[in-house]
Amino acid sequence: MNRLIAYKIAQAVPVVLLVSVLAFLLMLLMPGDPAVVIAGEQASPEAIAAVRRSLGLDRPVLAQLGLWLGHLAQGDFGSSLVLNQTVLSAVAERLPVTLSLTGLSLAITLPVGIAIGAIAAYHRQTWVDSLVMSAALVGVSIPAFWIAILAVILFCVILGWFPSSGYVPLLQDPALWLQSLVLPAGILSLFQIGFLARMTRSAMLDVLSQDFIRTARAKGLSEWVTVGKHAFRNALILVITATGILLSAAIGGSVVIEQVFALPGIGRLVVQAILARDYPLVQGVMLIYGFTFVAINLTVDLAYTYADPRVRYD
Amino acid sequence: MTEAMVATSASGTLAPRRRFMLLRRLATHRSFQIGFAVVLLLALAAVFAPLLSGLDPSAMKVRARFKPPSQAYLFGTDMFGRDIFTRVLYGARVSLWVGLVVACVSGFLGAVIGILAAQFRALDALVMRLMDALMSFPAILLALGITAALGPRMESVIIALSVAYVPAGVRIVRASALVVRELDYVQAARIAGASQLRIMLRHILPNSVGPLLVHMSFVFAYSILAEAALSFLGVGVQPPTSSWGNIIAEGRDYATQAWWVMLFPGLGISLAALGLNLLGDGLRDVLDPRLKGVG
Repeated sequence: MNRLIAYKIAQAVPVVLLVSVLAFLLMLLMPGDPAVVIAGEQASPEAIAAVRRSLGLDRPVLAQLGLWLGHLAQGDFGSSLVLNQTVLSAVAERLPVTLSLTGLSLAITLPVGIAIGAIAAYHRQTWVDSLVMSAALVGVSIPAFWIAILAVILFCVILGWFPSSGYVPLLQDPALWLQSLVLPAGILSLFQIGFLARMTRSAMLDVLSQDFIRTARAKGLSEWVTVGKHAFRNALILVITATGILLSAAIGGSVVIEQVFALPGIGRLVVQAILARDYPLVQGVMLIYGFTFVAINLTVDLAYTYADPRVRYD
Repeated sequence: MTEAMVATSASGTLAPRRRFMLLRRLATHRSFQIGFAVVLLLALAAVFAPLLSGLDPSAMKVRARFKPPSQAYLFGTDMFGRDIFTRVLYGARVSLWVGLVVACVSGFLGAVIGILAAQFRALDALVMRLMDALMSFPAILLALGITAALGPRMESVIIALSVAYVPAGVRIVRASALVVRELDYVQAARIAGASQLRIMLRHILPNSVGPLLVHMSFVFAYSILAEAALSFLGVGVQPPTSSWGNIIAEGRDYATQAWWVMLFPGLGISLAALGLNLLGDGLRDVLDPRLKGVG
């Protein structure tokens, strides 16, 4: 087991390195001279030269890459041009919002999506199945930001049930925290529920058609034990993989949702950084995102191997 | 030798019939029918936009600001008095075009890279780690990063989304190519002296086309959603060019007074994505029966 963990971690190392190089290349892709963009169009040649020197842009590309990786190795992700903050502190400040949003969304998605998918699989090819699966299909086809605006109009403006924007920290007032996040998290879950329901259904169908289920039924186990225990537990293995995908997708979706609900999270930070051409901040946040996703994938991989002893490395 | 000859002649006569059968099964597949009809309708509306509406999508009429849907303005007008029906039609051109190009480019690159990775094992490890790195990002975030670097334009969105969706295509093609290249008939072709190129194009590629087509139809749907999201955030297609995403962004501030501005483009996006998802489900059931029902 330890060897396996070491192997998986070793496999993630080149991916982390590649993500860092990709984030570096992102800066090179920028049209025009980055130093001019950063210093501003009206900046004097001396100011531009100073920016170029301070960012190391006057050196060869490989040297720049080395410098960039060296800074990263020391935990230096760069600094924002606009916020007068380092990337790490800007992200740390907004982390609780994004964590709350994605965590709450996942807490809604997992039980609902799994239940819906399992019910559809159990009642396969009946009206229940088609109804549930049609709803799931609609869920993955509707743009989240659009339905979010409609929901704001309905629940916040017309009905007045929730505040339309803003965020209250959990420690400050848990009830208001929940109230400020239920709607965004719910909208964020729509797509994920559709996705998870479709995935769970096919996993359940797969398991339900296997021999050991027939055996369980034949030896007279109750339907509840057969489906609830034998089938469901086997289908759950897939849910581990799904959780990883859903968590990544929730973080991706939070970028748009935070923008609509004006939640001061990391997603909103990166969009504002892009619009303000705060390139070092964009680059730093993207890199942190990348490391997060690699970590999520690694965790899923390990959890999967742990849950299903048949899975071994090739 | 005789066996090989029998096999070739048999497959020679069977292949067209089998293809015909697939088409017939597709044509009778309910969700494919609905999806295909929806997508076709939207595509026709986009292509014939100038005929369906005689108006200019960016023509402003101050006196006709915020008119609700009526006979004169089917979907109403926005804050500049522009006709939303016309803007949604022209927006369909941009959104469907982006989706189509991204699906084709990422599918093509996926096929090329996937087959090369399966065929030349030395390339494999490097290519697949790179794909892992790209795939660790959700497509929307990767595309956000790339459009940030390339600047907010339609071309950047197309490039960004193509890059974002290539890795999944590579994995699909590589996986089926790795299985196929070990099959007897490919070995036989190799022994018979077929060139690498011929083996890749003639024997391995056709076996990967089914799953790839299914994948591409879903990429088409995702790209429409992603383009809309990027344009909504202001990093995608820029006004005055109308795309479904940026019409919603523009209508957002007036959503409570002029709900029609943002309602109709959203319906367009949903309809297009729904149609393509249905079409993809149908394609998958027929072309790739092993995956039946997988989300």
